[in-house]
Amino acid sequence: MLAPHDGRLARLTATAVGRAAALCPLVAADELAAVLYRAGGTAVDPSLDPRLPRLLCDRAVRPLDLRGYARSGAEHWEGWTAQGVETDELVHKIYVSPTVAALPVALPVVFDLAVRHGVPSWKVGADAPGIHRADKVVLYLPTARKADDVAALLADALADLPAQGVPFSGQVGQTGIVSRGQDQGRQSWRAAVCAAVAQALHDSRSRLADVPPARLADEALRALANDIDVVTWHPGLPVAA
Amino acid sequence: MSVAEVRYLLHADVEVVQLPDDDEVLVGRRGSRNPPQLVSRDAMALAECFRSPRTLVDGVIAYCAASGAEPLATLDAAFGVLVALTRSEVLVADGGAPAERLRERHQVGEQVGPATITDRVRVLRDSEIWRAVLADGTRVVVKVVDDEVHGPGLVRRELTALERGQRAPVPRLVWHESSPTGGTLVLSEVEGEAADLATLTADDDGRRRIALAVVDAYVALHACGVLHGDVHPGNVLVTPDAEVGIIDFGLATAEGEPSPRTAGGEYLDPAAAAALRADRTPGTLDEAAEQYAVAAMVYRLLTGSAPLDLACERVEALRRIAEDRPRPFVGVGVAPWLAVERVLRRALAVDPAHRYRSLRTFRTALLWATATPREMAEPPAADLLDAVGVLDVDGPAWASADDERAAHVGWLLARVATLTGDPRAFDLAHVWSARCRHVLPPVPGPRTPVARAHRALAAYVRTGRPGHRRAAALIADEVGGPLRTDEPVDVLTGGWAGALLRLECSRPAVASMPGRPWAAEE
Repeated sequence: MLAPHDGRLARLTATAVGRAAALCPLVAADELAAVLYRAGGTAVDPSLDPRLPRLLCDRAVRPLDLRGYARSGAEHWEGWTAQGVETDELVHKIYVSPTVAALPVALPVVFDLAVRHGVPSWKVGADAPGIHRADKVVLYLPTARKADDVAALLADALADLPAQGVPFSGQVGQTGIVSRGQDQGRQSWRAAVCAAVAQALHDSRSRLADVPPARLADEALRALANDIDVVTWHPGLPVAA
Repeated sequence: MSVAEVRYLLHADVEVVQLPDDDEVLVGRRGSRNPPQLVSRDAMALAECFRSPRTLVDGVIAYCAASGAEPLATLDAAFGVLVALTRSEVLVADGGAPAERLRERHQVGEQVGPATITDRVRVLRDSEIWRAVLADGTRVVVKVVDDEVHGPGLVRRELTALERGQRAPVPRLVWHESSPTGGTLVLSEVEGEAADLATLTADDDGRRRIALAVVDAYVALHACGVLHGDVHPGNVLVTPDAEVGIIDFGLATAEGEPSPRTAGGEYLDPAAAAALRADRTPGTLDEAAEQYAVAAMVYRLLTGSAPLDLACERVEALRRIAEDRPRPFVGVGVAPWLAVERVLRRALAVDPAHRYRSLRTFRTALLWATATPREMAEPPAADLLDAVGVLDVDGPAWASADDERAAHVGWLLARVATLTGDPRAFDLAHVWSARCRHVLPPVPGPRTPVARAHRALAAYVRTGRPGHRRAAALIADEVGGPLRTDEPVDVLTGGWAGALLRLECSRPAVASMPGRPWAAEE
């Protein structure tokens, strides 16, 4: 496996890549990318009431004045976007990843902080699979600096809650409950990173006969490092397109 | 004018939701009390031909011209659907009252009696609910009833119930105005969220507190001589401090005055269900029937589920209400609580003579029962969670497994992930499942110990008899003895199979036999 890094999310990422490296001779690159993308989630509890995700959103918005925001409900996401905002420009992401059990406490904190600090857009998983994903809450901001500031505030406000953690994102704070990403063109940050890692592993899969998966994973990530340092990337570091 | 001459119109307020991966759509009319209907895409395409007014025959001909279908066969096949769509007023006769668009009778900022409207809650064809404030800032609710047939009775019953129920947690009447179709009421606002939603994030003690508070509210209402007549969690609002308010008294009965009955659902009592099943009008609401409804709600608040499985078509649902006993708690996925289950069984007895003599007596019995300790759910099998580590890609299992073995490992990990919520098992399940190209392990033969254990668990879920669960646990121990992680993973026999069975025994309502496709899709 990769050398441990200080951050919990970096370790989650390294573990996911190591597992994908072991799998790479056996599956196509797109399936490899899918396995990487799903990493960090948890299985849906069959006894979970399907109304819970939207109820938690309703409770979180109830005390807030959201007249300046439009609420949009899709099948899997519930979103809020400030009126008049150009969403294509909101490429700086904050992931908030409490465990499912901590979501009722975390969501009101996230929503309140988002409104008070003028976050222009955010979304929350609106069904059972959505709240079991690692990236169950995503905030979108127009600049890296603003995103860093809000992420730091969120990490502080949520520090006492248990974190699930989003692999392939830059950890903010001690627990990994808050992290950062930056969309690539029109592609989501994690989708872009997972696809790049999967392709790098797939391209070097023939070497698995000679080297162990952990080393293959290390080498694939090193090869990508000039473009996307997926393990140690953190807010402020450049991200190549 | 005969039916053949009537020109029908697909109403402009109709909304259609395409269901993913399905050949059906959900169609409903905005503002209607009729629930949305599932219809085939073909039937919806036919209904779309009525966007402009047409007779049924002309609509079918237009559809057939566009699709190439044979007109007589189409009319024959679609007739039932067309009738159903006219009954639910999705298709309406052009020019009649049902063809009118849904319109709001009020708007934000408007003055209604002493109240100024601030926010819309709900607008239906026959009624409206608005939030509003009084001049001193007090928050109120404006309720408008506008239905020629039922409206005056609904308002009269609501006014009577509110007047007599003032010692119960019901809204206070601030102002009202009657009309030939009902009228307008300004009521004090009852805070809180629907009782079943309030319990969704509550722990066991929170659920118990809410359930008892709800029963207390109904005891107080009955003491005022009022039967609610419309018991369901949406009409019972609960604050975060478990304070309860009951709303919506349009079907209430005060001191024996008969009122209309609800037409179905999990809160319908067995006698009313039996009457509806026999196409008879249900008898007058009485306290025993309302006790049944309140007990059904208590069951839902404590377990998150209905006492009966009513996920079936209406006639069968009515039969189950009229004849069946409530499911054991274990059957709906929660830990047994035998004392409480016994009390609820009595309050939910099919024969009203077997229920408690009053809601107050039921409340006393429930209070005592909830004071007894409940059987705690077993913790997840620690040995199995610890053992998941050897199934990582740097362990011996990954190095030695073939596709068949990988299918066993993938299944085991998926079940551990589902039953425990363990994230490592979840990630590894995807890796192993991809490795074996998502193939499932074989289903065990019917005489094998694993199959017998699952049958015993199914019997436990169905009946609640602990002997079935003990039998399943015994088989789990016999299948493989203690777990040895150096054994190859096999979910049909041996130590891994036994450990998985022990884990399945901890959550019998969601137990799944190896190789059953649904569980693998989670």
